[in-house]
Amino acid sequence: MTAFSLSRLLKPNGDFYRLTCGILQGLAGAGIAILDLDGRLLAGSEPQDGRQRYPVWVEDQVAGWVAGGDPAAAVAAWISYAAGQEAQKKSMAAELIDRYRELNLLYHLSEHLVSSPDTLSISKVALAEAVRMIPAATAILLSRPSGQEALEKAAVLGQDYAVISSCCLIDRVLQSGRAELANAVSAEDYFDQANGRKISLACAPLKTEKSIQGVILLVDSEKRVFSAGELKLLNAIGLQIAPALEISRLWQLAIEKAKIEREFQMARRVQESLLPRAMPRFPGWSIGNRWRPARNVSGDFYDLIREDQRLGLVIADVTDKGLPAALFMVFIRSAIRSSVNRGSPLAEEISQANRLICQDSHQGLLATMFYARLSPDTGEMEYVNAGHNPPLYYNAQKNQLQLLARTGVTLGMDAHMSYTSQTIHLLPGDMVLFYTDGVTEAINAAKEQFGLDRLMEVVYQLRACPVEQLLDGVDEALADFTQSLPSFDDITLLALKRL
Amino acid sequence: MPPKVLIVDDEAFIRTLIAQTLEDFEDDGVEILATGDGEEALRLIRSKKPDLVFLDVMLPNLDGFAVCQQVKENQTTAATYVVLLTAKGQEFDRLRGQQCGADQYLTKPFDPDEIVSLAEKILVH
Repeated sequence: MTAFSLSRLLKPNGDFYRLTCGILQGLAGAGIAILDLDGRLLAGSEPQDGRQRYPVWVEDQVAGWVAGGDPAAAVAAWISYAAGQEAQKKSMAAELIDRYRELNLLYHLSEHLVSSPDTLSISKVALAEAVRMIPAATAILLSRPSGQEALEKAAVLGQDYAVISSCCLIDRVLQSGRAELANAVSAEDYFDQANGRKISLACAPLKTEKSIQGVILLVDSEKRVFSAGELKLLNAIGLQIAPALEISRLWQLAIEKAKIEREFQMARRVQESLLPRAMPRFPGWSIGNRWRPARNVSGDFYDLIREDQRLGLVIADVTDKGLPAALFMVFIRSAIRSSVNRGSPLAEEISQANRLICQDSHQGLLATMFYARLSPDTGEMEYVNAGHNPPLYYNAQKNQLQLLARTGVTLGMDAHMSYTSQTIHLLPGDMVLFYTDGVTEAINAAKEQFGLDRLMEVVYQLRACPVEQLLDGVDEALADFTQSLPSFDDITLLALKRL
Repeated sequence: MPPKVLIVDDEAFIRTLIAQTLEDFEDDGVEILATGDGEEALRLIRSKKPDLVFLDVMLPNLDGFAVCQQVKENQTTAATYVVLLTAKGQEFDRLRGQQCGADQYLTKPFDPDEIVSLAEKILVH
């Protein structure tokens, strides 16, 4: 608080001066003189030597003197009272100015924050506004980058100190969420390479409702003593910028997420372009499919490979989901395509594909696969089942469903694995449904799996239907079962029917 | 004649705020006058001839624009430096302020230091 000025209260032509002069005129015989601390006459008559002096008290401090005869003591008491009232008014007005200054700062800060596009700009604006209102040689903003506990220097204004972000002051502010001062303290406790200096610091948290994201730190020499009022202001700045920093951070995350989303969509289009564009047509045969990734991209795939007079039907499932699985799927597809139709027995060709996959796969990714080599003219279908869910083979003659069991292990597991093949003959009315585990492992709200039995039941009921109707029927059964809960796994179906 | 500053605002705390901010100027002999009424402001400007007027826009009886316009249209008072105080979010008032000849604008809540800088500029130089 600034010292009270009696001369200001008794400024000539002021109301109080006029009132006082009127009173002193009534006490003219007493020779009253009102003097400031230096003995200068403010009102009344020139003081006479030897007269008693009575102090004018304002908030326990002498603000001036009243000299003169007997009434001087009463005049001093009266002026003390009036001066006390005035000092109180001034003090409240000073408080008002501080609050108004704070209000102005916060408005100013809000305006700047709104137009600040990123966290760095916000941090710089915050520091500039902080030192504008609370003069300091250095202002530093330390914040926690997304998902990290440790503080990082986000922005600096003034001398760039090597702040020890784990120092006790910052640590306390982070823990308590309350701003703190440390005036004239040893710099070594706060900065590296402090060289025995002393400094003053003010530190306020960057606090939102949910968390404390960092601190704003003002630093100056030990001569600068930060006040409690300044600390309050710094705290207000911290409270103002913390949500802005949080919004900016979330905005950046949203932008990055949208970017990743776009990239995934592009990846999906690339992946879709690797799938057969249309089902091949062979007289007397019907082929249909469904492909539904659980996410944007899939680890499931199917392929149709023309092998001279034969057709290779492939369904595979990478043991993961999302982008890694999708990338692995591309690799598996290439390995299979480069290994088959080389004139060797199917089992040998799949063994070769497996060797290629084992050689180049170092990420622990595996893939189950079913490869069927169909001769449309004869109806002969040779297959290798590398750890894949057994396709359902409907034998019309026997009117029964059979499972085409595994003939080898999952691809990518063992380079020395030799695969074997099996052969069936498809006759008119026969049908094979290839599927991935996303079908049988689809779950409902009660966490029950759709399961092989339900699939077999649906397929058996629709055994006489065209493939598209069969696939629609399986889709409907899945939707009924899961009550359209989002699927956690990719779903692929491939149906082959001899007409 | 000692330099004079007139504060015109119907809100007493704004008058106190500006007066207290300019307290040091008073020690140097600057006279500070204040009123919360537009017509009274005009009367004081004509009679006391202040060098600087902080003039709020929204006033009872006569608004700040009308006061400013009459001050600037009158040759004897036209040189008075008029600072219009406009409320936040009422930036369109600036256009009206320009039209009525105001010398400067401050948007509330203003920085008290700006008041000091302005007073120094007008009263000291």
